[in-house]
Amino acid sequence: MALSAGAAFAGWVAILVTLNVTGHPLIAGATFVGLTVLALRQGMGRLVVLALVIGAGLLLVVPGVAIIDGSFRIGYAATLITPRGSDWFWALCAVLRIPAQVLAAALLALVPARLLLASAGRLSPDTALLAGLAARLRPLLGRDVRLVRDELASRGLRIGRGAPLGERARGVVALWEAIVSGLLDRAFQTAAALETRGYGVATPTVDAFTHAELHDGVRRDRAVDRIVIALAVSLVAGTIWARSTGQLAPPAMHALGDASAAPNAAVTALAFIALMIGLVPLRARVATLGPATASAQPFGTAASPAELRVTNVSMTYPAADEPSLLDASLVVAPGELVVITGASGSGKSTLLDVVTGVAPRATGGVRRGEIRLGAHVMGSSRQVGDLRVAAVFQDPEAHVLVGQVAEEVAFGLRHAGVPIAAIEQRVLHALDQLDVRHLARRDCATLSGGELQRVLLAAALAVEPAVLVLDEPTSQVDATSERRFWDAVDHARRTRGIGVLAAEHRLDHVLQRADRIVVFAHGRIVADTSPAWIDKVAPQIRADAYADLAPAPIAPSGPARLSVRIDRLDANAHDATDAGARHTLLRGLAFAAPAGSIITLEGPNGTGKSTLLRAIRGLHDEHAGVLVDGRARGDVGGSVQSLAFLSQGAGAMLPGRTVRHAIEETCRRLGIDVAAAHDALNAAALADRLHAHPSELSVGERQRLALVAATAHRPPVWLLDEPTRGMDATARRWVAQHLLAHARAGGVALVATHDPALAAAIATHRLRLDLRTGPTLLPVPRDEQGRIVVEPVTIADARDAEVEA
Amino acid sequence: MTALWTLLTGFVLAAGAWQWSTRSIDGSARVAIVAVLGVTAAAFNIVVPIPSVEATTTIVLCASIALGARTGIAAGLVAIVASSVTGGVGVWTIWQVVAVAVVGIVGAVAARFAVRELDWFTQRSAIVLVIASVVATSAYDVITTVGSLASYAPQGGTLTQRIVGALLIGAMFTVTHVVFTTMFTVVGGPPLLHALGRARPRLAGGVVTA
Repeated sequence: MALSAGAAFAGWVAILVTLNVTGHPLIAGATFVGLTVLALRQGMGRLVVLALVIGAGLLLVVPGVAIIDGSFRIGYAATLITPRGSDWFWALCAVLRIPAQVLAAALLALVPARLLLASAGRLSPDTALLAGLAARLRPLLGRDVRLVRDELASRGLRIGRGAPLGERARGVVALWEAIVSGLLDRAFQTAAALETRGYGVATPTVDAFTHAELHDGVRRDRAVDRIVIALAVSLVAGTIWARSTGQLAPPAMHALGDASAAPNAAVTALAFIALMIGLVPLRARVATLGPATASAQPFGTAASPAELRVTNVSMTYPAADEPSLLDASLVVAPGELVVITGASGSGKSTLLDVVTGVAPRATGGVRRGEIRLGAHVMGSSRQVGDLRVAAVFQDPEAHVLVGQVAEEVAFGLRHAGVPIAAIEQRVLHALDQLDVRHLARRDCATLSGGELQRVLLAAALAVEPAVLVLDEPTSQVDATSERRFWDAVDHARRTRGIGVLAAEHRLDHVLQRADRIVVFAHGRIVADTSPAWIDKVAPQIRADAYADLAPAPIAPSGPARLSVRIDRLDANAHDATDAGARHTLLRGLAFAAPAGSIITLEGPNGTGKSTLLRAIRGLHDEHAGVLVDGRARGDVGGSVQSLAFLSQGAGAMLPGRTVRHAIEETCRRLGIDVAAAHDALNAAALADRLHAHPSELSVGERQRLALVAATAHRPPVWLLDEPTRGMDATARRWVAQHLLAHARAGGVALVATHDPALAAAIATHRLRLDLRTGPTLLPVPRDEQGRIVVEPVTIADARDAEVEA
Repeated sequence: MTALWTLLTGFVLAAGAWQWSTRSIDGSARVAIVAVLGVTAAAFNIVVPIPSVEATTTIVLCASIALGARTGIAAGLVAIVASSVTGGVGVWTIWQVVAVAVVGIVGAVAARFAVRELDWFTQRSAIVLVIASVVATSAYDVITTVGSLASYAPQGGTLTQRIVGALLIGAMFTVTHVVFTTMFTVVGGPPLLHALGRARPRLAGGVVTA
């Protein structure tokens, strides 16, 4: 059963007036009646009966709960008055206070916290936004904290009871540093999402059903809201009546002494506030468009195609000596797909940031030059015309702002000031276009990566953009999801004339669809040509990242360095697809990896690749039988020297004030030579970034730093989750070389990846996870030189391997 | 009637602080930072409460020092709203809002003395934080105690006598509160200030049309 925000608010008001303030009997009675109606509408008649039974029981069992000290009348005192003549009405009302409290508490307990927070949004649009973000960020930040704790524990941070006090204290401080740094990074991501989703363009459309479910949920919520209003009105009317008739407190309350008078005054004020909070959002706000300019078009009235023209644009970020983008000029015609590419830090992302308005509004710094969309000039203040540039980014989860799918799609429309009546139609239309209408009521946190990207594409298309900006939108999704995403993009640009500006590292996926390709280097555009000419103009762009690695044959051999047996692996509760439900990811997996093995974990999103790595590392709830070099793995802290772990989001959560500080602290904790780590930084092309804060690095640079930090102590077994995420060809090649060198030195690596080219280049064994078929071994590609010289270990063989728990 | 007027005064102050801090949030970066800090403060209250430590005070104080009083106060308001989900709402909520506003002002004043570019990992800056934290935590306690007490209008003696009595009775709690919260601020404040210092340049961007 799902309660609406309206129901949540009713519960909140009930708590306000009954639990925390010495209540007026009339208020208690009205609250009980209101909550009873509410509960009955939710099909919870049994709860009402239960509340009455509990209330009666409390009256009989604990009549002495009243606290009477001559000053205060708190608790159940008001319910214990013996009726005297005409006081029976007041006494009845007062007695209903107990079941009202029980009912309110029970209703409140059923309401998801996010809806309770969302109900606070009734105060004002600003509060609505803040409360909505808070509700969305709450679980996300919790997960970030768990992630950074696990990462640090995997790198030798000791804050448990076994560690000396001084080390524990240092560990707690390091953990806190990492957490606050990560929190700010999360805020910056959220800011970017806000910029591209219409925040600040107009006064947002807010109604009584903010954050309520769309579709048939609307009707139910309206009924609930009427109950809330009736409740609030009765609270105020009853109290005012009592005061106007000279009964500041009813006779039954007078029996308790004068103390009742003051609380009633407080209740009057609080009830009035509650009423105002309840009523304010009922007036649907008419869109107030942003500053009127000659070029600004009323939103939604002219969804005609428009040309994006970038002219001599430069961008300098705060504290940067050099501009990250220099004199860039390009045009994206209606319906055109322009792919931009180049190495990490070459200026691609900066161009996308300035086109979407993320830079400089959410990043600071100074942008020069002109960006024009049709006749509209994009400036430093948000205008409705800016919304006609929509975006989908690389990390979809970081750009979810509300949570529920339908509301997520509606976010941009609300913030563009689109009237309520039009929002639902456009949301449903956008969901239909992307074939995700069946997900409308789901929470975004429960979607797979591919589903979430399509939802965010629906959100982008719902605002009827003229230009769609895509920043490696499919870098974290499987091949099927990737194809569906790009098909949808193609359909949008063909049918609606939407121009698309897309940054991609893996060009093979988009080149056949592209009209033009723009190559960046050192902040400048160095080529702007058709895909057919790219091999002549900039052949390095299409070069295979893993070509000519020329490895010596890898020959996994000898006794198992890593042995794993997992009887059953369930998703974590916070990863579950349905609230509270945990599904089984895989059953009966066992393998033994000899020295020199590189096992890639492949398969669609949500099949348990990351969970399997976490289980092997000891960071999952499930028990996994893991032996390293024949010895039991031990706990996380005890296995630091034998296992390296790089989680998928590791790059976003790097503790340390600078790159140098981050790596040296890691070395200190692990007891290894700092010089060796610096050598690794050199190899990862990070030597010139030593004094930068980790958050100032690009996604690819962060990932490289995280990998260096995770493997600096060279443990025999590496567990890496999407190590090439966000990297350009050069960096991906470095990762492959890093892994091959490890394998040649006798190490073992498990690598979860969506990059089939990486798997083909380095894997000695390829394990595919699939929820339907279970884990299977894929054939390992061999080149003409026969790089893979040992037959892969089969699952069946591995089952027989002696693995002790 | 004194109680009613006290409560209404608190409400006006709280509403003013609320409007001033949330209405004036300009820019997506500031909004996102406020939301993140608010949720973090609420999490300390609900998920990982530390005995005698008011983490909201520390976070509001640091945010006000680094990013200005409006940002700090708005973060505190988000924390109050989020905490109210489990902690309930009552007369004290109004006074919590007022108290958070005062903490924000203390932070802004501290920023003037300390200069925002101060290296918050030095001993000198710790002194600034200690003083600001003691003042802010004391103010928070006094405002919430006195405000709630006056709003409820208990009987016996004059209002002044009752307030003084309540403060004396709760003095040990207040002192403990101030000491532990200040310790938390000294340990946890510098990393937070350092991180918020990184955010400051993001709050001011401009476009120059060539």
